[in-house]
Amino acid sequence: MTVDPALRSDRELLAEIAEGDRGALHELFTRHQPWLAARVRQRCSDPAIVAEVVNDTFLVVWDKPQKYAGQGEVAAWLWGIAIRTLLHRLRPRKSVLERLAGLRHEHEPSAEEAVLLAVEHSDVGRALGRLSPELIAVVQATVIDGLSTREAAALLGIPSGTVKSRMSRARTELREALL
Amino acid sequence: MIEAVELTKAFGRTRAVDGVSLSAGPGVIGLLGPNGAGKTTLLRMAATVLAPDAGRLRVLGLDPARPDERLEIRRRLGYLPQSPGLYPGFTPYDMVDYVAILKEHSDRRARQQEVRRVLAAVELEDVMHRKIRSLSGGKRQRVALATAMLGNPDLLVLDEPANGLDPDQRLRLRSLLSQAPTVLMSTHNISEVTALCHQVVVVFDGRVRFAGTPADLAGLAAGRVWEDDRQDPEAIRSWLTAAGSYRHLGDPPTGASVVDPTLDDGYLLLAREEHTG
Amino acid sequence: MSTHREPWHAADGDLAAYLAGDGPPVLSASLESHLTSCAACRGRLASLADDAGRDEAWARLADAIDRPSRRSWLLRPAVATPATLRAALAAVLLVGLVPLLTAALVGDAGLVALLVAAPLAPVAAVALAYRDVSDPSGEISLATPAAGLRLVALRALLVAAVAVPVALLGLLAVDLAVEDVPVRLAFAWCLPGLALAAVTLLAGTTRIDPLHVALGAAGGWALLVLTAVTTRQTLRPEAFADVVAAPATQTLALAVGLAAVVLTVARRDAVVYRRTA
Repeated sequence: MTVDPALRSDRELLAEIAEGDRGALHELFTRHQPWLAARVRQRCSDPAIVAEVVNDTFLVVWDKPQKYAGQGEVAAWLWGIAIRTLLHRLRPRKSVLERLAGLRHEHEPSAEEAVLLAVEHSDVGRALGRLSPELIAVVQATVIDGLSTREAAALLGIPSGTVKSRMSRARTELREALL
Repeated sequence: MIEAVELTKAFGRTRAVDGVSLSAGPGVIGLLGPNGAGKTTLLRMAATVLAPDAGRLRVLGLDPARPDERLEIRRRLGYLPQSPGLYPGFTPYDMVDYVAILKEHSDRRARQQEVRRVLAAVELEDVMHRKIRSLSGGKRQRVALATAMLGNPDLLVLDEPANGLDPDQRLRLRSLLSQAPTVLMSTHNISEVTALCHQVVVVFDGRVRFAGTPADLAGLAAGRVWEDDRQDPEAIRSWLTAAGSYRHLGDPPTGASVVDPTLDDGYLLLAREEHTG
Repeated sequence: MSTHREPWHAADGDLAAYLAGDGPPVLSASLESHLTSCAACRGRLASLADDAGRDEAWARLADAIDRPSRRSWLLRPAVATPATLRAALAAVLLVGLVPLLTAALVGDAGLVALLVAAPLAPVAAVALAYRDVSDPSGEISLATPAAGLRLVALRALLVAAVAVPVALLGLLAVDLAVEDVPVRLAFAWCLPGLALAAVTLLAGTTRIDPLHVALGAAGGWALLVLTAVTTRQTLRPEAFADVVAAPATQTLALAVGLAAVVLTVARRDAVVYRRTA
């Protein structure tokens, strides 16, 4: 209304949200809801849960915008809230294992895609692509999502020990592929 | 609909409203007059917050002196006081919600929808959860307007509703006012009357000096306005226009170029007559 | 297809595949880490995503956040405004702390002070409930259906509900820490206090300012207590019991209180409307 919202950075929006500015929340939501929803959807196939997780993430932003430490990408902070909300939402469920097993299955790259990846991406990407799906899942949970071993174990529905051993296997394989 | 017969209210020795009789509405009725003319006192009586000393008043066909009818009026009324006391530590949402409770919106879910509706109508969605103390004067005025609009009242009594609004929001005010069947508003700004009102009541010193349409008010000065390139001592009032010529009010001399009167001319003529007795 | 120059940006096709959930995992992983730091690609992903879904999600979020702020939960019954709460606090200090301090310092005089102050708590509560300051929206609320006795009585009850127990606790504290307070003495003030409060409430239905009545009641009460307990220039709090706790006094207080309450309810429509100037 008064200031062009496009001019405000994510951090400025968070500062406004801390003052109770609903317009700033709407702007932040418009910017970040699409990718957040898409990213949660990669990890959970139930649209109702995806919607709930995204909703709860922004509720946390609304209630406690001051939790943002003031450094690093706001997007990364948002994802940190979202992935933990998802974990929290999934943890008590019995069917986590099945759902995630199904999810991982869907994500197995076809031969065609693997070739595509090889030309499309850097050495690291190619090396990653050669990892088996369960190793990729662990790398994704720990490296990309930034989860702790225990959190990754909860998300993937496997024991913490398995996460650790898969992570070290992935590290070895990557090193071999790159050197 | 507002009807008053010989309505009087005094504060100490001052007769704020002195024998006012009028019948107005539906539509937007503008109370026009200088500060201290008794507009606020008249509005407060219409809004049932002040009892007249004498005379008869009917609001929406009901008598505010009778408790049951007064309650009925209050249920169908939206009131914006001259200086609405907004609690600075509240958010606009809290403030409107509080008034909604006083207005018997008891169902929580329905109240939430209604509070959001009126806040959206005055374009305060973005700031409805900020503290009122952090808002500009125009936004505070809109918070108070939102409380008046709760529950789509049949009658809006608004004391200087355009106070603090910027020109853009004044335009929006017109569409807000058109939502209520009857609006009684005060103003000391003639352009607001032109922009907003279907009927105009001019008040000087607690008495009604004119009641009619804005066109009728302008018509009072018909044939009594002329323009010239120099001052005219014959005129009862002269002033320099933006175009650089002099505009005169009074009895035009022969051969003068008489022009169409505006609302300002009609009002100024009334004010002049009032002043000279 | 995307190029590999730095800084790189995701190809639309890859973003679309990612959105559809059928991108290859490694590509998805690298997209995700890229999206975390690239606002431009987030924007492009947003433009490829379904707007209706986002708007629906926003409506859901807005529904969850558009409610009264947490601090205002006491407002729900529209009774406890911040000013009312401050008034309650002041009453607590009056009947709790002041006499206690006096009692600790000067013994008997403190107990007398407490006996004077305790019944004034409900009186102060009623008087405050009538004051403009106990209502943030002031004039706005006067024009609502809830205006009148209901609101005043609820506010008075709220302040009294805090202040009266504090007065009793104060007496208990004196009993434990300073000297024995006979049970008769500890409760004797309750009925007279409530009677005085009811009379103050009744004053609100007349043209008399309840604050003046409250001050008058307070003065009268203080005089009565002081006369009762002073014999030959020494303070004897026990004497208070003989006078005030006497069945005749208590019955009289009960009768006055009941009569005032009945009269107030009968005249409830006169509250505020008649009194406001």
